[in-house]
Amino acid sequence: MQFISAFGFLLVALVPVVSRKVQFNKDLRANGCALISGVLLGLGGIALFGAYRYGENASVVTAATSLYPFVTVIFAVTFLREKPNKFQLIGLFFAATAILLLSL
Amino acid sequence: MHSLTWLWLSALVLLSWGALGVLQKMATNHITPQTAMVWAAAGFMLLQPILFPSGLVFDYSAANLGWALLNGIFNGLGFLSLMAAMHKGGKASIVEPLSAALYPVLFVLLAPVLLRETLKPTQALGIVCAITSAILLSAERQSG
Repeated sequence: MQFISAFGFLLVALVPVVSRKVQFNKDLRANGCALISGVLLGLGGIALFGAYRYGENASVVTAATSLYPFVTVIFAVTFLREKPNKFQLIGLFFAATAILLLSL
Repeated sequence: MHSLTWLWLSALVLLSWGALGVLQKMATNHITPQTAMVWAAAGFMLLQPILFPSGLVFDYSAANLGWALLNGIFNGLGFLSLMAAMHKGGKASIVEPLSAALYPVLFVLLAPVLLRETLKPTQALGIVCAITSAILLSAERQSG
C-alpha cells in the first residue's frame, strides 16, 4: 500500500509544476539536498516497516522511532548552528514527553 | 538472529528522518518549497520499486487504494508545509519537533469521533504537553 501512497505524494509535487510555480535553478547543493531528503523519506518508511515486521512489540518501535525530530535538533544545532532559546529548550522537553505519551 | 534487527532498523528510521529535517532546511534556504518538493518527490520515487506489491495492485479494493492514495496526498502536503515553514524562516530544530508533537493531537482528538476509540489518561496528558510545547517552541521573539 505504501507503493500506492507514493503516487499521492507525487501528485502533490505535480500541482506546482502544472500551475507553473516551480522555478528550477542551477543551485546543485539545494536541489541535491531536496532530492536526498526525498530518498531519506522513503528509506525511513521502508526501515519502519521492517522494524514493525521484526520487532516483537509494536508500541516500543512506535515510541522509539517517533523521537526522530530530536535527531533533527541534534543535527540542526551541530551542522546549521541553530540555537534554541531557553523557552524553546523547555518546549523541546514537553514535545518529547508529548510524543512519547501520544505514541503509547 | 532477528532479535536486534528491529533496533537497527529503528535507528535507521531515526537517522533518515532526523537528517531529513536538516536537508529540508538547507534546500529551502535557497530554493522555493514548491521546487524542493519536486526534487524530493523524485528522490522519494527512486526507492518505490522496492515496495512494488507482490500481488496485482488491482487485487486491492478501490476503497483501500483510495485511502492509500489519500494517505500519500496528506503525507505530501505535510512535507510541503514543513518546507514552507522553514522557507519562511522557521528553524529546523523548532519546526520538526513542533509538528511532530502536535499532529498526533489531531489524531487522538478525532479517533473517538471517527473510530469510536476512547481517550486514555496518558493521551490526555500528552495533549496538554503538546500544547505546552507548542506555546514554548513558538516563543521566538520573547527571548531572542
